[in-house]
Amino acid sequence: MDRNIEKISPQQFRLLVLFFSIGSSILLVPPGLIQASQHDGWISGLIGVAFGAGVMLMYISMIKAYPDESLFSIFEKAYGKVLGKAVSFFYSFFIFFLTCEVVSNMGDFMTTQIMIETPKMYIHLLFLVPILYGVSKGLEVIGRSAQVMFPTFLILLTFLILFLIPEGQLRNIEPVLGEGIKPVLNGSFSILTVPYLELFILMMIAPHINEKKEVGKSFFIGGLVGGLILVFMTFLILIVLGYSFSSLMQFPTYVLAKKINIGDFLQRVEVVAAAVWIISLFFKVAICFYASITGLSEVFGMQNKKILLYPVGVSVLYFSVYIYPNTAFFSMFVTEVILSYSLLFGLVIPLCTLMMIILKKKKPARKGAEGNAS
Amino acid sequence: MVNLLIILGISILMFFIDFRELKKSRKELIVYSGFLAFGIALFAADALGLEIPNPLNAVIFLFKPMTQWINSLFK
Repeated sequence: MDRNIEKISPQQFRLLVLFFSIGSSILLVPPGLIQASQHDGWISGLIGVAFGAGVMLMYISMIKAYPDESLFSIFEKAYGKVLGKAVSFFYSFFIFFLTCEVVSNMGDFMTTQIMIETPKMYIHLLFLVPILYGVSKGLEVIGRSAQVMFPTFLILLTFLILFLIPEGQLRNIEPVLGEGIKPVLNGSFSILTVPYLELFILMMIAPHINEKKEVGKSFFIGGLVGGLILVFMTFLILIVLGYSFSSLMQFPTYVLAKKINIGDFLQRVEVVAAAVWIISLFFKVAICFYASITGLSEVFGMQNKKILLYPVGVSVLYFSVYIYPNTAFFSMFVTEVILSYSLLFGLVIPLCTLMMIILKKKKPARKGAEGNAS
Repeated sequence: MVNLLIILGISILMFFIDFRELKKSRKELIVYSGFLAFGIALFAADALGLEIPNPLNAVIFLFKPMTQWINSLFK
């Protein structure tokens, strides 16, 4: 009903893609890159962004094939009614767990670095209440608040980057390619999985954009700029902190922000810099939450999707606390499991869907009415 | 226990707020109540000290061998 009313502009969509790709990745990607490929973390980051651009082009061609359909109705068009519903069902689980994982990343960061004695659940509750409110007001409000928050985000990010460059020493990244090319390629998976293979979630909000021609361009630019910011943060961590120190840290980005020192006078402003990822995390969780309630209501065939907001929110609150029981579990999950999990959902199934779409679009043109069963 | 009581209180309040929308369609009422009961059951099990299996364990069981195989290609 209300899905045809909600409209966002391509500029707002671009900012949402940017916030989504920076999101929790600004905390998770640099340690992944640094652990996998040591001094060459930034090179594997660049390779990962190049692969990610390919993945984004695949998503864009899916959006272009059906500009007015969300991800789940594309699945139904490609695989037919029953199989499409089954695929959508698994996807809504993926998106639901991703929402919990992203909230949990934020809670882990807050409880280990800033508010050490507060129970995780109450931090999550405080974080989820404005998100629930934002999602209940609809996509337009999320898009407009992205536009409002973007200058703050940009100023803080520039501040972070500008005052850290003088602290860096280029000899920290030597030797370049000292370990050969294989670890560098392996490290590129960590930036490919965390922001890029999750970007298909934005296909849930792509049908709401009012200018259909600009969708692909905004998607690509947003994702590319987000990825380059992540690579640049990794580069800064390597030149400022060095490999051996930063590889011991759980959140090297936050430790990096502690290094800001303006004329021996303004120091320890890292909480201000932490606002960069709190803002982007807010939008990432809001988009994931929006996508999961849209997905669930499409799977159950409901007209009014906003009604599911509160019941799903309760489950998100529970699972966000217990989904990663401890840090050891989390790092095991990120290094040993998440790659093939997101490759299946973010690359293999969309690629099959794209091939099905191309086959279905070709068949009627060649043989007339035949082969259009669903 | 405190968490359960807070969630239960808010849930009853939200149910009455959402009920005006829900009574239009029987299906939506069933799905809504199902999700809400599931969420409250999770908190209740937590308050009673029951062990709830982590859904990510299923993901780990299914996908860990595959990731290890991919990683071994780049060692």
